[in-house]
Amino acid sequence: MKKIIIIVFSLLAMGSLLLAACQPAATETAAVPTSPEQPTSAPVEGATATQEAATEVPATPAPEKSGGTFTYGASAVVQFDPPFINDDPSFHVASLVHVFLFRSILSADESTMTTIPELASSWDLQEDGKVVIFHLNQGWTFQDGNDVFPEGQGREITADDVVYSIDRMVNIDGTKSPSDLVGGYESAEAVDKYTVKLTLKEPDAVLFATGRGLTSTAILPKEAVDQLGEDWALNPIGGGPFEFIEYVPDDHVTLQRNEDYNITPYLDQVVLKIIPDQQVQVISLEAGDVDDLPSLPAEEFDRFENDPNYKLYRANCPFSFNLQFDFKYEPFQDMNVREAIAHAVDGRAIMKNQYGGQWVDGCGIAGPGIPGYDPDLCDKYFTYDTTKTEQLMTDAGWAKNADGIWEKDGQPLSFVFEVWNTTPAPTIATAAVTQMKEAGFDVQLTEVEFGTWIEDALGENTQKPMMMWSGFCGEGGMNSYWGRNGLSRGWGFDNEEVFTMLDQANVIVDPTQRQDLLQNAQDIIYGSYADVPLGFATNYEISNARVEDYIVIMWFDNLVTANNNVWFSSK
Amino acid sequence: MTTYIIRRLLILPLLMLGISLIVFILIQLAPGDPIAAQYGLKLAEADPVKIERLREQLGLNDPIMVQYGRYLLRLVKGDLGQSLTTRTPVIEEISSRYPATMELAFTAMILVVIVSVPLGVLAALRRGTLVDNFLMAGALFGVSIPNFWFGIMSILVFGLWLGWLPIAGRGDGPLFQRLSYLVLPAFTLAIGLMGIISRLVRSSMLEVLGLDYIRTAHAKGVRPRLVIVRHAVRNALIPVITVLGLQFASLLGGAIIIETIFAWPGIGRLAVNAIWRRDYPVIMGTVLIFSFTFILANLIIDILYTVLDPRIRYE
Amino acid sequence: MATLEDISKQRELKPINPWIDKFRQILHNRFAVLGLLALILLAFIAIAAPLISPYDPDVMDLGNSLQPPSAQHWLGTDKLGRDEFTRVIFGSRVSLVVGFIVVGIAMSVGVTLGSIAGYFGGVADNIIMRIVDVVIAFPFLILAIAIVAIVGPSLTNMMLVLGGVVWIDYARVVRGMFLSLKEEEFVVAARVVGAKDSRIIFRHLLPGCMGVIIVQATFGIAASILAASALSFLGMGAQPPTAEWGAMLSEAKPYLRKLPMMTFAPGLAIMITVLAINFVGDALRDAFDPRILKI
Repeated sequence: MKKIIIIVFSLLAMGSLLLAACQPAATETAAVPTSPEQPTSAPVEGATATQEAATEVPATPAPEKSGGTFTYGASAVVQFDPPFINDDPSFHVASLVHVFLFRSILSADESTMTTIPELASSWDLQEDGKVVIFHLNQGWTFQDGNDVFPEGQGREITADDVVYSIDRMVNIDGTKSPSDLVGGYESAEAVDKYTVKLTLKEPDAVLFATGRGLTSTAILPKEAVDQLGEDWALNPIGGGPFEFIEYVPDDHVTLQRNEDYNITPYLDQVVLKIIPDQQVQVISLEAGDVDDLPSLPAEEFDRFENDPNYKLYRANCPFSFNLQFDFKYEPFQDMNVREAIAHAVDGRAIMKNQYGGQWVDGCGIAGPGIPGYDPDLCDKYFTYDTTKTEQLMTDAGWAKNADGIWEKDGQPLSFVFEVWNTTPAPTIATAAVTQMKEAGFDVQLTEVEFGTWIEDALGENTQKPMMMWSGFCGEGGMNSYWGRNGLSRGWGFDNEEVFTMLDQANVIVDPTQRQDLLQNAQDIIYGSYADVPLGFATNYEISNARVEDYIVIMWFDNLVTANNNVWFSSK
Repeated sequence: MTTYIIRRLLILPLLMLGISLIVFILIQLAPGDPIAAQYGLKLAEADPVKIERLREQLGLNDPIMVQYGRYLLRLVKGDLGQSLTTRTPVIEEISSRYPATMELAFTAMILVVIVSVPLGVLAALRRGTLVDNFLMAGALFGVSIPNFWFGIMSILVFGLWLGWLPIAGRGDGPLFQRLSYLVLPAFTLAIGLMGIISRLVRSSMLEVLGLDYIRTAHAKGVRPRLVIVRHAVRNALIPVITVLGLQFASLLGGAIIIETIFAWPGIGRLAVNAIWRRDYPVIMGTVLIFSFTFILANLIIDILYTVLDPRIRYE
Repeated sequence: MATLEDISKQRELKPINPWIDKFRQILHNRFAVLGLLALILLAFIAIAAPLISPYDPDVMDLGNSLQPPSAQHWLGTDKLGRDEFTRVIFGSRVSLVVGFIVVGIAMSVGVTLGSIAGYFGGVADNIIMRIVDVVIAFPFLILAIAIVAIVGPSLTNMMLVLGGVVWIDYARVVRGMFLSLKEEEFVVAARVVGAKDSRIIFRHLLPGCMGVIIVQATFGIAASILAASALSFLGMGAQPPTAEWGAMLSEAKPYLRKLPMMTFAPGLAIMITVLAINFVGDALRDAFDPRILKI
């Protein structure tokens, strides 16, 4: 009898474990909209040119272009709270979501260096640009049909919301990459219901060229943040063209058209499918499971370049990879050593090898199309020439020892090179290391996780003698990296002349003047071999050919703006 | 025997305590500052006052024992803390992914049993023949093959070349709709264990077949096949069950790699990502859950074992 | 009528050396012979790597990246233009070294602790066995990953971590053997005579365990090679540009469709190595198993 009880009990225990396992893929629906247009719980895969059967006709007569689900293949999504969206290693994906869910006060076309009005219909400058008065559009609302704003009761966006949001963005604790407003922000104040007064510490030229952090400061409803508390990060509510429907962890995110947006989106739904593996992303694109990949892997570029079934969108923001010297490491305090290493590495060949058709020729931190770009920098300072390496090292008092490694006073030139472990950084680093080793430098490559790398880069005395660096395309990049309060300070970079130049450039609005200043600054920086720029590459986004009217501007890909409204053609 | 079970159940919390302590210590030993990790790129610009505030908030300035004590208290309440990356409760992160991993592990287990037991028995009954040699060589292959390589190869063949099966993710909807997604990952996970178990079943069968009472039955002229095989199999399976239970841990561990390769949304992948991101609450949570699952499974196996084999008496 | 002396002279019965006898038994197993030959070949390849490979494993050829197999590059080239064939050959060095070192560490620690636990029993036994219990309770891979992520990924760290986990196998096996052998007559006799503990352990007990230890070690090497390649696959072991089979697999994964050979070769290498070791291990285990009657 006992035996039977025990058997039954054990089977029940196992059975319950099994039951736990045999549930259908759980869907975590949050803020379930009660509107009649609610789609079925399983996201619709693939796109149809005709209108979805599940969605009802919106208030405005449906244009012929309407309908369909736009599916992205995203590599990772972590959460949706704007100040923390930059935590996601897949920054690009995060900013996508941001643009769909939220409004910002400004938008910007960084390729033309112009700001575009969004929530703010116009603005005035006062006190030479230290104060900005924004005039908001009236009658724009937050999304409704969720836990905070019941259907039909989306609250109007007012100046108070703007003040709240900017303040939160600048002051919130624990964000990984605070808005670049932080340095210059002084205060924001709601003058009246639709007017916001923003006071800066100093006039900021970049603000009016590219909007700075204002373009990525989402305007949030305070009551939603307060009401949802801990759940806010996974249940965002904003004023953007698409509303949040659900997020199934590690699987997908579903967004749905916001009927109350001042421009009615043609698309019914936006789905982000989480596909960490790049190859699978490409396969999904080919199979039609996704419509768009925010980032096309470099090795697939050639295959898709001339394929009429796909459209490629080039980002106007070349990013670079650099070898950063730590000036605290004694041998690197000698410029000859730094220059020697610079000539020992064929940066352009390495970047070209890695990126193929996506490679962009050039050296420095400002790439082609960015203010400060100097097309002669590569040939001036960064030729691949190992005889120069030999010459410089010998002149500096080094000699090769029995193992072929440069040695001085009995000390071989042996150092650690730290790189983060996500593609393609390790491959690029390996190539550079191989060449450096060939030239007689004993380099130990260490791969660490991105977070660890950041800690080492930013901590007190935690920097490694050499660290890989990348990114920072765009106008503000030079200042953020080489400026007075820039990241390179952590590695011991200290050049007053450069700092002054960059401070000045910040404030000058005239583009030609700025270009000259920045170019000169780069000349000084790279002429002194403060780091070794390997070269540039640019990101390409790819969609299938049925996607129409899609605009890609730097990092923010917009499905619906004043200038475009994406739809699917039938083909 | 009930005393045995009760004793095992009592040891459970003690074991979990020990594990939690070890994990806690490991994390304290970890270099790197969770605050710095949170601030990331703009740490240099961050306000030191704010950083101190954050430290206070997270209780990082309190003595170690206090932090551990606090952690234990919350553990008892079922609160595993908050993920540093997503700021959602760790319990939610884990519970939303737990079914996926269990699905994978259980399917693999079932596959192992369905495939290895009959094959092992067959090999034993056909001992010394070509069938036996072939099966055992196959088993050895299964044990020797790196499972991540097998996974990648099967993706290549069945996913890319033949296009029969999907190569990533878990699919949506009820189980029977998602079976195609389950096949490759579960099979890859099972392959190593299949090798081990078939060999074990074979040797166990051989041992039992050589035993006296079987020979006696045979000599007596009892219908050979069915009866003997049934008796023999039942007894041969006893040691196999223990091994299966012990190997469940390796299955869970293997799931980590498999989930990474196949983008399976389970706790293995959660754990690897958390470890890469230094998300300590999630790391501790997943290790605890893994260990707990394993210990529980072992306990169940042990109980079954005593039920099946009355000869075993635990002091 | 033949006497016993006559018969024995005729038969020329020689005293049996157990070790030679075992070796002969192993040789009867065809698979084991195959395995042994493969291992010898592997060792040769590992030692003679620089001599037999057409290229240097680290030499890049940036213009020739991702080439399919050809006459110049038998297995093609990787992303940086390095010769795959050479790298596979050099990978054998890392794997074999790792296997031996890990098992070396695990054996020293495990046999020592196991002997202590098995011989002295009591508190020492309890403590050691509790440690073993706790280590077992962890899913091994997670523990390894977590520790390596904390202390920093490197080949050395990985070997230490693996050794630190695998020793329990040896400890348990040795302890088990000691427990059963402890009560045997020859041990009791030795103790009665007044032999020191260390003498008993080293001269009487350990030799009896050698068989099981050797078998365990053999399988341990295979398991360590698998585990090490898995960890390197995840980026936690061998660092670039070291040519290691698991790391090479991870590098080849993005090009699975374009260049399947890049993924095929290193994985096959791992499998053959482990298979060969397992064949030998199997045969060893049969040779040392007292239950199977061998004539």
